Amino acid sequence: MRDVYTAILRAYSGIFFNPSVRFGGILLLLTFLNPNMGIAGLVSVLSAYAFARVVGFRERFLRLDYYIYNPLLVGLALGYLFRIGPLSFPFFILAGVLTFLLTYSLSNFSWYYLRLPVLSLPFVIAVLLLYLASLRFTNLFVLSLYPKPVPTLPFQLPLPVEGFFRSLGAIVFSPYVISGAVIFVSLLAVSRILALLAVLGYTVGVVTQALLVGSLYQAVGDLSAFNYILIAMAVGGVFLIPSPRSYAFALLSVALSVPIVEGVKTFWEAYGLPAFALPFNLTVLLLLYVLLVAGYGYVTLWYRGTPERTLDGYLTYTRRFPYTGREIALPFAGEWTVWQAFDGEWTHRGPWRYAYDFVIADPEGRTFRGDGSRLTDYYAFGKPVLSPVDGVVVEVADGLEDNPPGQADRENNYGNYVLLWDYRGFYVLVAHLKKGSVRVKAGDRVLRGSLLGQCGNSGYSPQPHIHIHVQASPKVGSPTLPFKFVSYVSSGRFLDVGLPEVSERVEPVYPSKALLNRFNLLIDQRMLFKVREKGREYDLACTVKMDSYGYFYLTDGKTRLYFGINNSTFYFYNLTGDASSPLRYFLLAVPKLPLIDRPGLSWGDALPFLSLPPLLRSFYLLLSSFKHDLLSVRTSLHLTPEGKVKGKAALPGGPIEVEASVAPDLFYDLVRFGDVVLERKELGWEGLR
Amino acid sequence: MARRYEKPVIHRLHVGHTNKFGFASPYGAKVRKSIDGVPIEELVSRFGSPLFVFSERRLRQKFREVKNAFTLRYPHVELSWSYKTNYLDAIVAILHSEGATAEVVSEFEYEKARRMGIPGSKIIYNGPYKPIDSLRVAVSEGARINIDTFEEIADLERVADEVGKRPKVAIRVNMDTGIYPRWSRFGFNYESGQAWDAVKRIALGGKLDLVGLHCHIGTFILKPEAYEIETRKLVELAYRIEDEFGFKIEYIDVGGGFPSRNRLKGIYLPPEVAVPPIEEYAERITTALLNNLRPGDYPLLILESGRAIVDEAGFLITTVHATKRLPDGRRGYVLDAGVNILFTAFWYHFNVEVDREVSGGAEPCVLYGPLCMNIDVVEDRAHLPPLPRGTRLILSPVGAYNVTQWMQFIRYRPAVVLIGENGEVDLIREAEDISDIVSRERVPERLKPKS
Repeated sequence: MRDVYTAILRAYSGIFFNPSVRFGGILLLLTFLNPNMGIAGLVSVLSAYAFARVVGFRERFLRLDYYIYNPLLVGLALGYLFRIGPLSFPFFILAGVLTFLLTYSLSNFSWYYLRLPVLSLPFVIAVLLLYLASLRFTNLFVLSLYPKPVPTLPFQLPLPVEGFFRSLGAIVFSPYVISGAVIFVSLLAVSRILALLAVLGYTVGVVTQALLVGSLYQAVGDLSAFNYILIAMAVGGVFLIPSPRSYAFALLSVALSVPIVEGVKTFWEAYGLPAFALPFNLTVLLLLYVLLVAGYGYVTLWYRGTPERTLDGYLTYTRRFPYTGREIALPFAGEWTVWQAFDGEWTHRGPWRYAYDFVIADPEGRTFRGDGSRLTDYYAFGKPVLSPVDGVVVEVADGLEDNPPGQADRENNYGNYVLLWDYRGFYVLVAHLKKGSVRVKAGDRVLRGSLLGQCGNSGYSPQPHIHIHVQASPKVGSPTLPFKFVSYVSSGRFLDVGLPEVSERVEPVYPSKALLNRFNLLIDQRMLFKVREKGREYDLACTVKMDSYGYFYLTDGKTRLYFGINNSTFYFYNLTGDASSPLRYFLLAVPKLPLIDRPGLSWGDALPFLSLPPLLRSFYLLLSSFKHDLLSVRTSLHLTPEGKVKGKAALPGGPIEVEASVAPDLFYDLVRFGDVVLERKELGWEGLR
Repeated sequence: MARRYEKPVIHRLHVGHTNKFGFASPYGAKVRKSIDGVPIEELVSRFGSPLFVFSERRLRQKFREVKNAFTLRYPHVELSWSYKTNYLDAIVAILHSEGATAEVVSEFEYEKARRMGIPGSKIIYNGPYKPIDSLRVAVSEGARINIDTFEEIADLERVADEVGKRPKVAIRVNMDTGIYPRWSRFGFNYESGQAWDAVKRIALGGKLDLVGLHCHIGTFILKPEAYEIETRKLVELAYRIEDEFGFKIEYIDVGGGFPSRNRLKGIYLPPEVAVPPIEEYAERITTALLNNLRPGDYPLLILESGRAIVDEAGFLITTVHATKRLPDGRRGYVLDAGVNILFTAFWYHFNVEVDREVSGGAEPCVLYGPLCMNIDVVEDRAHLPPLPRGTRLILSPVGAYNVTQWMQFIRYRPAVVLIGENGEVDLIREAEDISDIVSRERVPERLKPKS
């Protein structure tokens, strides 16, 4: 029952691009300002829902609200026209089912062929069809047309404001100032960005229209202006990551839609029909399609309910995981020093600029002992070279002599090398190996850390060093691609991904077997935590589950905290569902933990704005939408000698101390974020395992 | 320098007993006027003689050398400081600051490591005799315990029940690695199947988590190949255990026993030739690991090196107290330091240096300690020019074992100082006086001297 209720209310709020049940409830009430319409809308949406359940759709409804907001809109549109009666009632039911079929088919089609959402296009098509059809259903006309009650306010607002509110209300066929005002206030509570975009979109659209039409009065009186509001919200806050660019695109799209609105109106008016949301659909889909095909980088890949949460997710993700898709391990063990990095001083130039050279240097910075006249004087010479990736050996060279120090082979640039194919779709070259040291042959499968050979001085190499780069094609020496290194320690600081600078000393780290075992969380493992928060004490039972995409999460039933191990780090990725669940404290206290047993090790991470109190959070996100790097919440953590995690989260109100301790058996047994303490009481299995 | 008058002596001519490698320079003694830039005379005038001197710079350098030798060849290495080699607080503090964990072999050493701020989880508890009380502490503090006997398995299971924890343990294994002597008295034998029995016994008990394997093949091992054999056998055993019992072997502890640049008695070659560099040991051990480990599996490699790290950082300054001519024609010197504080004199020929230029031809001589005991011979094959009374001799390397195995016998134990990297000299252990020795003594009332 709860599912039904949530799904239906989300169909209402979905019209305004958010999943808030409360917001949906307010909209539902507003549609009942005209009881006829309210009932019609509800009947259509319920019939669509019932049909879908009979056919066998289930959870999908909770996630994809557009499947049923289209039937809802059609119901509202028909209810706006016809009174509830024995004749119109079945008509509403038919309309609901028809629109559902249309929505499902259209959305599959557009997703498969165009990678586009359907928006309210099915509504537009269905409602136009049904309006046209009803022109012939004279019986319906005779019995059901009715005068609409118009709620009025006892006072007058400035015309443009009234126009804005009426347009906002018109989105749910309630074109009254009072409805618009209520919606606007509710929208403000749900998302400041959407509210701002609504105002901006309306203003720009109406002004453009007024300039073209020549009458501001006419423009603000035109109910089709709701298209401007929807366009601005969809482009500026939903389909693009909120940013000055998305806002500019939103306003541009609004201006573009003005002629579409007028054109559509002219056309449909011949049949006595309003323009509905066709201009909105056309404009947004056109722009979105072009941006997608052009590979525009700021298209929202995952809309998280509101522009604010989307922006938070996006910013957090880009800060926490600045990946290139070509993350490789350092190809050695122990501490080496960067000799040449990207765009290097000597040879890392032009098409070969994405490459790294490593040597071993002593504390004085020298790479050899003694006078450096023999190869064996060099610390790097003969040291093991390990595979940076999981992949297949494509080609090796092993027979070239090692040059005496100070000399270089200009014929064979890379000397002895191993070329690897990484399963993710690129090649890695490791070069200047010692003659006769290569331990693999073409066709061998290697794992990250497998022994490839030894560091030597073959090829264009005046002193023993390891050269590594990533390339797109299998020919040795083809142009290089940017990449990053994973899991290394530099001056006591752990980096899960990064690019060291010249002269930086880096040491790759591999996860400790002991810690790996302790973070090997299995499905249905259940943990009971005692939460102490502001004098309150309660239990948090969380269970390990896997979603249908194969990602693991901890859940308390309502909220999911996604986690995983990547390379040598245990991550909490993100939180979905109810953001107020105490599960969030895990993410906020230890967003990541290197599975490395090294006291003193320190690392940093970015926290989502979820860490802030709600009001401040929305303010920060609104500001951040104008400048992405304006604000961030960093946390810095370290391992104490006792093996505990301690650190500080730099919240704007002052740093908050965090702490976590890894349990001897599994996961954490204590996590603290400021005054909030989560202490594990039990560890077991869900069900009868 | 003015030449001093020396009474003529007739040297016995050795024929047939000379060795082609030579021993000491015939031209005179090696001279050392300072340690790390601090003059010997200054050290003695401030802290007295005899005096142990440690060099922080050498210690850190050597530690890093050993550490790099391994970490540059294998990605997952832990160096655990062998406390018994030298557990002076200041020395231990330096090593811990370099990242070493603690390897202890008694409850005393365990307490000392804890006192130095080392958490239980960073302590490896070895040794054939672990009193059950100490096991209780070690288990509750999460120390890694390397089991030596079947009785210890039973003890640990009892402790596990009492404390309510699953101890993380390893078994100590002894094996044939192709060297002599074979250390077979510690742990469980590999070849006889005893080690496998121990694993079975632990699995059967079901109260302990077997997470590691430990082996220590001996001490002052001059054959790096032995470590390769040891490592390979341990890896094989680890996988057999993982496959048959489902334990996860998180660490492989290959022990220590790496030699320092000291001249072992009975070996003619000078240490520069006879002692392989640490790199060679590292190469053997890590090659054995990388060749035998399964892909993607990197258990922690633990090394319990002691002597190889600290020996060369320690010096002993001692003073010539008297000279005598022995009936066999050799010269004898009486020093103020003997085997009471130089336990390693039983194994090593130290490097003997003199604090000043001394004229006169070098001749065979014997260095005697101050004890009234016939065995108190510090060096019986020194080759030195005639040393005047008061000459300081600097003996090295003496950093390992001496300041832990020294005896309070007849005399007080001398001061120990540390020359810091900054050149400052700090007293890290005061010279003893009578109160140190009598403070624990009790005299029954009736025997007290009447005043």
